[in-house]
Amino acid sequence: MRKHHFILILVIILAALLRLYAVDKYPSGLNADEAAIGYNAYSLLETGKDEHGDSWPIVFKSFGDYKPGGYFYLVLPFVKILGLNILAVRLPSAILGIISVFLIYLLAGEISKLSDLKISRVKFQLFAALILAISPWHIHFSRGGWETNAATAMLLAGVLFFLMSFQRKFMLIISATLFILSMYTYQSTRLISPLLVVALIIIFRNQFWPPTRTLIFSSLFSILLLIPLGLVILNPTGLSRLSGVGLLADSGPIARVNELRGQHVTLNSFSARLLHNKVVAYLFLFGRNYLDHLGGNFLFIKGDVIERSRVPEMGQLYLIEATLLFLGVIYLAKNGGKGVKLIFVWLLIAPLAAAFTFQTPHALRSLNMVVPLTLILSLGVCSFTKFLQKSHKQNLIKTFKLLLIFGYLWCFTHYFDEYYIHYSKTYPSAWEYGFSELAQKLNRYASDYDRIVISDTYDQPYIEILFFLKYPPDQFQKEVILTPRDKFGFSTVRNFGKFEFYPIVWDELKNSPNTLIIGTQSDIPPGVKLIDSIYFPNGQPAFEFAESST
Amino acid sequence: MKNLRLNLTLFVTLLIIGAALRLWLLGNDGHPLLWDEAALGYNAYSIAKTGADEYGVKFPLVLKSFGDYKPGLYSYAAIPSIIKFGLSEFSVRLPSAIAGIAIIILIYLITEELFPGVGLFSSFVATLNPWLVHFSRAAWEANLCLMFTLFGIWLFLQARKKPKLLVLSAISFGLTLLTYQSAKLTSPLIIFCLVALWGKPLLVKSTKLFLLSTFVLIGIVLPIILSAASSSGRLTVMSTFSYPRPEADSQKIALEEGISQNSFQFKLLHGQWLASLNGVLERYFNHFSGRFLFYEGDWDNGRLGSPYVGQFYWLDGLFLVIGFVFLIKFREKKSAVFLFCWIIISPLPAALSRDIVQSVRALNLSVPISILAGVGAYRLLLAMVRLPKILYIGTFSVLLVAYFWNVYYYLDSYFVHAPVLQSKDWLYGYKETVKRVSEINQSAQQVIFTQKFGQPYIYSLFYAKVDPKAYQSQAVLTENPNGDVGYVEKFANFRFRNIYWPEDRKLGKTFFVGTEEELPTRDIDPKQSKIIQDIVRPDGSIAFRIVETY
Repeated sequence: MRKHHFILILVIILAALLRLYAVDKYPSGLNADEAAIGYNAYSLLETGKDEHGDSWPIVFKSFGDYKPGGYFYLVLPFVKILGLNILAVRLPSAILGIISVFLIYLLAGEISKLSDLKISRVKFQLFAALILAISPWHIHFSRGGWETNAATAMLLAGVLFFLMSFQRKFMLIISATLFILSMYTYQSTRLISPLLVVALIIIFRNQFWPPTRTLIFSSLFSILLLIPLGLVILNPTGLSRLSGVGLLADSGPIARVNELRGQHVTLNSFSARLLHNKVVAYLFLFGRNYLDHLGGNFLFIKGDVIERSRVPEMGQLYLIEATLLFLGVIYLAKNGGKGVKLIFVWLLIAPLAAAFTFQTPHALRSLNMVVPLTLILSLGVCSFTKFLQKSHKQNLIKTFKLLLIFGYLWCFTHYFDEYYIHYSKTYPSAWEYGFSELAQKLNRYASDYDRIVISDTYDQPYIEILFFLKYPPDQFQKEVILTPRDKFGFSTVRNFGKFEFYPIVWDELKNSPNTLIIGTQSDIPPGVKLIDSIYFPNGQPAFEFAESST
Repeated sequence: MKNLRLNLTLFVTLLIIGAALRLWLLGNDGHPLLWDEAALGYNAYSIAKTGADEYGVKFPLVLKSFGDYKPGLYSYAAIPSIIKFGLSEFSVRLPSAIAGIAIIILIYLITEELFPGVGLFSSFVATLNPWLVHFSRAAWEANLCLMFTLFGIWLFLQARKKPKLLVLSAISFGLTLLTYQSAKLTSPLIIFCLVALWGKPLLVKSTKLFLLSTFVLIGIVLPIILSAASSSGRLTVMSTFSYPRPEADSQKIALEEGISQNSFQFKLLHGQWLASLNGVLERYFNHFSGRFLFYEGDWDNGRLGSPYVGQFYWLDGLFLVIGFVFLIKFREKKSAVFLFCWIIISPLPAALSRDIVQSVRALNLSVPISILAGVGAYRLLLAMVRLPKILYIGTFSVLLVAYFWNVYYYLDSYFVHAPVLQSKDWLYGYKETVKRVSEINQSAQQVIFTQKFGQPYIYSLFYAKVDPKAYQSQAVLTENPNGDVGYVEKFANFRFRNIYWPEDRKLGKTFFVGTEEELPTRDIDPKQSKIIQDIVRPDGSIAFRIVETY
C-alpha cells in the first residue's frame, strides 16, 4: 500500500468519526422533515403505503409539500434493520457524507487529469478529501436526515462517472442514472442536475462528436427514467411547492414597484413602466439572492440565518478558509484546462436553485456549492505550499505552515465547541427537541385521559408523535385529514387517535372533560398545577403538562 | 492617427456627459444641504470675509465646527465659488462637482499608465458610475480627497519616468490628509503599495528627490497629525472597537460552556477578539457584497446613495468577472498587483468604523473597481469583435441598451425618487424654515429652535447669511461628553434647544420652531399663540412647525 492510500484511509476514518459520532444525539432532537421521512418509510414497510395511503409514491405528500422520494427509499432498509429510530433516519445521509469524501478524492484526480494545474495531483486529491472531511457545511448536512446531502453525493458521483466515461464508455450510463436519481431525491437538484449536465456536455463537447452509441443509448435511457418525474412535476400539485417558497412568493418587490410608480408625475407613463415593473424588480432580487451565496458574510462570518442549518458564531466555512479561497480562485483563474472550467462553472451554477427561493442565503438549498468550493480550497492550499517552496528561507516556510495548521486547528476546535456544546443550548428549539421524551411520557399518561391536546408551536408535532410512538400506520391512514395549505404552502394534521394539535387556548381547554394539555411555558398560565415537564438542554422548559379541571 | 482622433472625440464626449451628470441642477436637485455641507460653506464664507473660521481661529487647517474637527481644505476650495456666486448650495457644492469631473480625467490617465488602451473604458464606467456621481453632487470632502489621491497616484506613476514629479505627488498625497479623515488610513497604505512596487529605482537613482518628497509629505501632514489628539474623542465614537459584544451575551456563552469568562478556554474560543474580528470582517465583506455593489448600495444611511440602486450597474458585475480573470494572467504583473492591493485597502476605513456599511468612507473603492470593470469591458469588446459581424453588432447593442437603461434607472432614482423617499435623511425643511422665520421676524424677537434634527444653528447662520464677524464673538460650542459632536445653544436672538411646550407656552413674544410632536396642534391655544406655518416634506410628513406666541 502506498503512502497516499494510507493517508486517504485516515482521512476517511476522520470523516466517518465526524459524521457518525453520537449522530442520534447531536443535533439534539429530530426535525419534522426527518420524522416524516422515517415514519413514511415505516409506513411503507408495514403497509406498502405512505402516511396518506398512497402506494409506493415517487413524491411524498407529507405536509402538502410533496417531498421527493429518493431519500425515503434510502432510509427504508435502515428502518427495516434498525427499527424506527433517529439513527435509522440519519445513517444514510451520514454514510453518503463519508462516501462523498472518497468521491471528491477521485473527482479531484479526474479534474487534474483534464487540466494543467502544475501541482502534485495526489496532494490536490488528499487536501480536497481532507477539507471536505472537516468542512462544517458538509458535516452539518451529513449529520441529519437531509435529502440535500444525499442529492449532493449523487451529483458528485454523477460528475465523477461522467468524467470517467471518457476512458470507459459504459460509465456514462451510470452517470446519467446518478444525475437523474439526484433529481428524484431533492427539489433543488431538479434544476442544478440538468444544468450541470448541459455544462458538462458543452465543456467536453469534443468527446461526444461524432455521437457514440453509448451516448445515444444513455440519452434514451435518461429520457425513459425522467418520464415518471416529468409527470409528477408537471402536475399542478408538484409545482405548488415552488409557489410557496419561490421568489415570486415574496410580494415586497411588487409593493415597491407600485410605490415607485406612484412617485412619477404620470403614474403609468411609458418611462415609469419601463423602469418600475415586475420583471425588473424580481430580476434584481434574484441577482441579489444569487450573489448573497457568494458573499464573504455567508461563507465565513454569519452563515445561514435559519437555526436548523447553522451553528452559532460561524459561517458556512472556516474563517481561515477566506484566505485560502482567495488564493485558490487566483490560482484557478491563472491555470487553464477543462477541469478548471468545470470547477468554475459548477460554482456559478450551484447557488441558482437557492436564488430562486425567497429565504436567502440558504445553506441547505445551495449545499452543492461545497464541492466546487472544496476543490478551490484544496487548490488554495496546494498553491500556497507551492509558493512557499519557491522561497529558500526555511524559517519562513515553517512559520507559514505552522500558521496554516494552527489556524485550521483553532477553527476546527471552535466549530466542535459550537456544535457539541453551544448549538443545542443557544438554539434549543431548532431541532424540535423534546418529542422523544414527550412520547415516552405519553406512553405512561395516555391511558388516563380521553383527550390529549398538544401545542402546535413546534412545527409539525403530529409527525413527531407518530414517529416516536410508532403509531400503527394502517390506523393512521384511516384517520388522516390534511388541513388546507398555509401561505408558505404547508399543511398539517390536527388530530389522530385521542391526540389533537392546536394552539393552546387555556381558558377554553381548562373545562374540557378529562383532558391532558401539553403546551409551552407561555401556553399554560402561571399558577396552574403542572403534572410534568420536559426541559431543553439549556434548562428552559420545552413542554409543560397540565390537566383540565374536570 | 485616425484612431487617436476617434479616442479623443469619444473622451471629450464622455467628459461632457460626465460634466452634465455632475453639474446639472447642482444645488437644486431635491437633495438639501446636510449639516457638514452647511458647516463647510459657512466656514468658507467666514474665512473669505474675515480670514478666520466661525470660532475666530485665523486660517485654520482643521475646523472645530461641531466639535468633530474637520480637516479644512474643502472650505478653502469653496472660497472662490462663494466669492463669485455668493453663499448658496451651488457654490458650496461646486468644488466637489469639479473634483468629480477631474476624477474622470485622472481615472483615464491612471488607467492608461497601468493598462494602456483601457483608459477610455474605465473612464466610461467612472463617468456614469452612481457612486462617483452621487458624491460629486454634494459637498463631500471625501470626493475632493479622492481627487487628490488620484492625482498623487498618477504623479507617482509619471515620476517613474520624470522623477521630479515625485515632489508634486507627495504634495498631493499630503493634501488628502488635510481634506478628509479616512485619508489618514488609506493614503499611507496606497503610498506604501506604490513605493513597494515601483519605488526602488527612484530611491536608488534619485535619492535626494526621494528624501525631499518624504520631507515635504511629512511637513504637510505634521500639523494634522499633531492636532489629531484633539479629535480623538470623535474617533472613539466612530470606531467599531468602541462597541464590544454585550456583557449579557458573553455571560450566556460562558454559562453554556460552564467556564468563567476569565478562563483561557473562554478567551481562546469566544474572547472579545473573535467578536471584534467578526465585526470588522463582516463590515469589510459587506463592501464586496452583491447587495452593496449592485442591489441597493449603502443600505444603512439613506443619504449616502440613491434608493434601490447599487454602487455599480449590474452589467459592471459581468465586466468585473472578466476583468478579474484577465488581470490574473496579465503580463504587466505590477499593474495588476497594484490594482488588487488598491481594492483590498479601500474598504478598510469603513470596515473599522461603526456603521455596518458606509459608502463615503469606502469611496476610494469606486475607482479601482471602475478601472477593473473597464478592463473587463475592453476584453469583452475584443472578444466580441471576433464574432461574425451581425452577432457582434447585436450583442454590442443589447449590452449598450441594457447599460443605458440602468443609467436611466439610476438617474430616475436620484432625481425623482430620492427627493421624496430620502427627504428626511436629507434634512428637508431647514432652508424653508430659516427663510420663513427671518421673513416674519423683522423685530428680532426671540426664536427657540429645536435640536431634534441636529445643528440648527449652522443652518440659521448659513441661510440668513449672518455676518461672520458678529457671530465669531459669541460662538460657544457645548462639547459632547461622549466625544461625539457637540452643539451650539444660542447666538443673537436664537436659542437652540428642544421644546417642552407645557412650560414653554408661557413664554410670550417668541417664535418656536419645533417638530410636530413638540408642538401638537391641539395644544396650540389660539389666545396665546398661533401656527405660522407647517414646513412639509415632499413625502407629506411635517418637518418643522413654526409657532408664534404673543
